[in-house]
Amino acid sequence: MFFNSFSYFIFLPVVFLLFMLVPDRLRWLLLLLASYVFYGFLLKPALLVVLTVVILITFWFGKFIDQSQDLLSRKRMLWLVVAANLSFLLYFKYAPFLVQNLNILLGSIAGNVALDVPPLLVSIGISFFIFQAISYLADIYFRTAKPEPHLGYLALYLSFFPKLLQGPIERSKDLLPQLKQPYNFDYDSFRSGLLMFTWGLFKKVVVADRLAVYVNAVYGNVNSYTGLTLILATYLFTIQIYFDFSGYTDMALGTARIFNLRLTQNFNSPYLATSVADFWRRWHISFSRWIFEYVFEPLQMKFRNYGKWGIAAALLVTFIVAGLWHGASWTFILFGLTHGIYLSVEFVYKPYRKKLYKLLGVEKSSWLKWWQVFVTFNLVSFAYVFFRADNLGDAWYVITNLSFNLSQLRSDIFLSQGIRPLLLLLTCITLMVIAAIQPQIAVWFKGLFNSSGRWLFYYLFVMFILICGLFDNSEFIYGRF
Amino acid sequence: MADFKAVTVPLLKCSLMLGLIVVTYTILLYNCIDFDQNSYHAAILDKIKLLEVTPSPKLVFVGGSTLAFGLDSLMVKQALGVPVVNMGLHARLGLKFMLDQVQPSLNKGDIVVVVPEYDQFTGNLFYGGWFLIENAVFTHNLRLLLSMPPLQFADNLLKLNRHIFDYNNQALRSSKIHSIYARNKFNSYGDMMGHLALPNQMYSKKYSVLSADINQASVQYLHNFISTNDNRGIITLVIYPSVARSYYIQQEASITMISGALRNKGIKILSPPQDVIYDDDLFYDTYSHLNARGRKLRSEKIIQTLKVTIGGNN
Repeated sequence: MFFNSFSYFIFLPVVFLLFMLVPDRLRWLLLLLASYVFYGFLLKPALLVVLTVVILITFWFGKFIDQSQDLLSRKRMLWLVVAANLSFLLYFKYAPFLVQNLNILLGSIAGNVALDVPPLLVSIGISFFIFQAISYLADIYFRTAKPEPHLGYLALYLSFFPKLLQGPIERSKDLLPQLKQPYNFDYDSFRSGLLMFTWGLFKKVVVADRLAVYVNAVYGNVNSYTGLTLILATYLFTIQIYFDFSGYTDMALGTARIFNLRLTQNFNSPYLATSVADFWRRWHISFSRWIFEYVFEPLQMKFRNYGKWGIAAALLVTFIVAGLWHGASWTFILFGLTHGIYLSVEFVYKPYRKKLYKLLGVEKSSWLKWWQVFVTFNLVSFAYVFFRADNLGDAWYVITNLSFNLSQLRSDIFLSQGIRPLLLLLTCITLMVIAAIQPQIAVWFKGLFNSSGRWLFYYLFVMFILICGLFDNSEFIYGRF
Repeated sequence: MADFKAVTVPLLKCSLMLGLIVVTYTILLYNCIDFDQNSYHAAILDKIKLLEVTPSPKLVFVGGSTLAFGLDSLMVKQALGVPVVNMGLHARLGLKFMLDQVQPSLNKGDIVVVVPEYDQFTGNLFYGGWFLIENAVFTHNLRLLLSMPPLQFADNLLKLNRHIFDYNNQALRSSKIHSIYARNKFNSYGDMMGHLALPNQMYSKKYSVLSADINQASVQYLHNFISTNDNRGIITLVIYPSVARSYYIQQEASITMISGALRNKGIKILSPPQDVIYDDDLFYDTYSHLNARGRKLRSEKIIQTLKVTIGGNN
């Protein structure tokens, strides 16, 4: 079930009404059942089995790791359960990619040897709840968290439906205590949750899905385009992915807030970042935090004897892992690698950059920040070529043809849907850019929904979404990961 | 439970507002779905009439736009010596509607060739999509929608918002690409002719992945349709739809599963899916709309297959 489907518009009120009717001691059970129904709507029984197995092994191993006093056996248990969790990920998400590449390797060594490539299985949500399970176990191992004694609450922590498919990746210490709190209906929380959900729906169906039409037309046939068309499609994808993913996150956070639960805010104006490192502090925050704590920091410790080059290497490896997390293909590895290179270079040259700004006399200029934002936005957009291209060949074509026939813009692509959707998108994006730069405009807009005429604005806003939204493309980009 | 009283007022307000939104949206939609008598939808009127007036024994092709774009009925008629009716219009009418539509007009001795798109057997397309709702509004036959599951109906209703915003646009309607989707571009057999002289249009080769879950209701319905026809002395043949090679490669696993499900149900298909794959350059604007060259090749193959199965004049 996706947040932008009619099924969810029915599912959510039904779950909420039942939630209000059941006593506090059974509310965890209701939310757990609702989460299983939500996941079950994908009609993939294997996913429900994996979720259940991950919950069970995480619960038991969490207890064992906590109870064991011997560091070595604790470590062994941690690695065992992490390996078990990762094996699900490997089987569902990476097996075809690994076998395909193994076949290429075997073919080059031993000639006509080829293993059967397993089919690509639907793995939606797996990487999110497995990452949460790993963080829960690692926190117990490092003694920064205690194991959850109630299997039901742990199951709900891992499977809570608003964050099940695409996160945010929650820490146990943030979410578990909230799940155990008695529920008191809070009108403000309920109202802000509904508003946040609606705002997310607007981002997804009015902006992201409409942008996707143009982006898909170009990236679905990259070889037919050059220069400005490719550049424009790449910039549009940069905007699309933000609205798609942050729209989803708003809907997830909004849903949770209706139940009086606060999930991690995943975005903080990422395209206003002044460096790539700053970008990762603002983009997919729960994932960045996870990868920083559980991949980068251990690697940094391992490479600590190599000074700044050790940190650069740790960044490189961390972001290759991050790229691979996004999907089992070389394009995602290159996406991660590109960001790894950006961050390593940024880190190594940080002192020189400061000196350069000083030398140029621009270190205190108000324009410097905007220049940095511009450069970062372009670096991030460039890396998205790997993210969006269907294969390495397409990515290579885009990169080598970005500057070819630069003046040739295929306007027919962008006019294929008529002028209205184009004007709608331009208006929405311009207004939101202005609101991001001038926060008082955003405050004024939010104020409309708190004024005495708020019901009129609710009505107009929902009607606007219903009329201008595109309800054809129900999948979210990050739903694949 | 005490919370329930506190929540009643806001919930009632929300419900009232949602009710108002639903009413406004429905009124807007009903007034904006405005098809003229030359719209693509209107072609269904000609097809129904053709089906009713064509004398038996006749050869009736049932399917979606794959058939509309990819069949030369005249060639088939000349080769097999029987009158031909091409009912192909749009996959999103759903297989159930397509089969129900032809059933009452079939008589003993008729031959029905069902060419269902693969996605009729996965997900819920079998019950129809947004095109069926548009068709129901256009033909003022809202009873058509009764068999569509309510959630599917509501989801498709949301998709129709394009009539309020996007389609209310003369420039788009009269654009070159869309102008072939019109009633007057069909010939007297029900074949689309508008695209035959046009160059191929560009289309994305990144296809939505076919669901791997078989809709058993759809398979069963086709099975029942064949059995009913058998009892009435009507021959029913099933052929796979023609698709572009790039589509087949991406969907091979699902297609294999679908053909397995049909085989397991005892539904005989005249040739395997691999026999009806064509090169991408033989398609006009989607992976299933053959261009003039592709249409000729496809029609020749259908004639060959039908001759082997039922015989013909030549």
